[in-house]
Amino acid sequence: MPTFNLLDLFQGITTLISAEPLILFGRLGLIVLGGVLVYFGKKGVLEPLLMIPMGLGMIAVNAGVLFLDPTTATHIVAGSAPAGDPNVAAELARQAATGHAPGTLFMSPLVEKTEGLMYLMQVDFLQPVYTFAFSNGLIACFVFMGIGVLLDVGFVLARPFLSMFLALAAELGTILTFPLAVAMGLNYGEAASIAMVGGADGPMVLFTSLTLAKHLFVPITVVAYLYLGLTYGGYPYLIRLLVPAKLRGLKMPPKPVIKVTSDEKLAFAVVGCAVLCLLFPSAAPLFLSLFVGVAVREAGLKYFMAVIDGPILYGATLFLGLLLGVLCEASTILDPKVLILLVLGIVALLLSAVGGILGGYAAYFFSGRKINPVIGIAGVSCVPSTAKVAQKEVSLVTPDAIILPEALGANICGVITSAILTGIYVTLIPLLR
Amino acid sequence: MKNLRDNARYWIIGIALAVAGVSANRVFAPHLDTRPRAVVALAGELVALAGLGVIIFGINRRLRLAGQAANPDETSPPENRTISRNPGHP
Repeated sequence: MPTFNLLDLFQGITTLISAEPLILFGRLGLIVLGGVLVYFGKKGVLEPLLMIPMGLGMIAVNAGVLFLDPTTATHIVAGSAPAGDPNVAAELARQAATGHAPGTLFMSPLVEKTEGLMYLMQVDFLQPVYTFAFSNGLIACFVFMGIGVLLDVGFVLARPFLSMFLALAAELGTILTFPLAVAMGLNYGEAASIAMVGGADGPMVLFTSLTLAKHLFVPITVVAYLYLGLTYGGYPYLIRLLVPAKLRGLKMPPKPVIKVTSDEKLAFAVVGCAVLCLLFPSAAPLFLSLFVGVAVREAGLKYFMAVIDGPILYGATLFLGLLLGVLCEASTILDPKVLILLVLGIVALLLSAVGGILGGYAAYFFSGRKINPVIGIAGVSCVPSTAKVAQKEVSLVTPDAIILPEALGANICGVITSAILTGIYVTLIPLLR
Repeated sequence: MKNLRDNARYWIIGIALAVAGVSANRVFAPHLDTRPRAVVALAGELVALAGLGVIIFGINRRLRLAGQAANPDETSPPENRTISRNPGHP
């Protein structure tokens, strides 16, 4: 009669107990962190659309580890890039063959070979979404398409130089974090990927890290989205710290109501898309996605708008959150470089915010003290969170002061400058190697 | 379309600059040695982006002129300014 071990019934607990201490505490910590993300998402401190599926995915993937059957485990081990140490590779192969390899039935992000992928797509329920929509950047492009539909480039065209100046100033973190990261031991690709967190644009970070640092894209993207969630909660304090109340409440002089026609916006989208794609072909999928959204909006294609800013944007956001959460399995995310990434990510976002506010101050002085310096932070391209944060902080001091049009102009321009910087990094880094 | 026609000068100059910049960056630069290639490629990028800047400047100029023509003496109060819908997304 075969022996029966009660713990085989509860493999989540068995795999937890039998794991190395680092993985054990990592899994427990990530389960708690997942709960924290759900809580702060519900409270509105972090972006709920992303944090609630992400937090729940994080909990489920770290709780739902089991011993994989030998066939599945062998496909994972054989399909992944070989481990550097031959002893480790042999041990993994032995565990897989004896049915003692831990894993999940969510997905296997490290598998690269076609045969393994084809097998796993029939086993892991999120593997098809991951393989066909996430690892090739499709989800990032879907989100960007949605952003394009929500953007009104008229805000940029109405105040082009102010918007461009603030957007450039708010890329300080994206530019300065790169040499900092290299100095801290990251290679150029990794450094550029983490520097993009300063652009505060999730799809850009995802796209850059998938292109330049695929081995680290999981921790980089997770760090980026965690920190982007913090912009809504943390930036108001930074604004209060750096801009005195008297300046925060500054009313800007009223401007006449002027309208950029949809023809002009559509023509600009066509020319802009063509020029940027010609200059930066590596980032062309992102430019196309952004400008197709803008073009659909300006051409008045209501059915397409309804599809893009509804099912496509929110469907992509749901699966992005879920996949990011599921990618946070302790054995995948616990890389020695994660601590460096955590530090550099927050440095990049802080520098960008400070750069934006400094840009706001420069605009304030150059305009003869007419422009509210708070709009500088809206140059950080987390659309539309930073523009909303700026308006909210101004309204707290002077309830009838309206800066949202100017802030949105800088915000939208920030998306375009971030895309340009992505193009520059993605084009230049392979040449530097 | 009338606005585009009235402003055609800026659109034509902007597109011409952008095409010149892109040509320098993508057509001429790859045939040069390393150092001149980097210089021409960078200059091409800047010229192409300046072309987009010229188009933006043209649109902005038209808006200013239209605003002045519509309200020669006064400007509208801030509460009348257009603000787009602002749905949240990540």
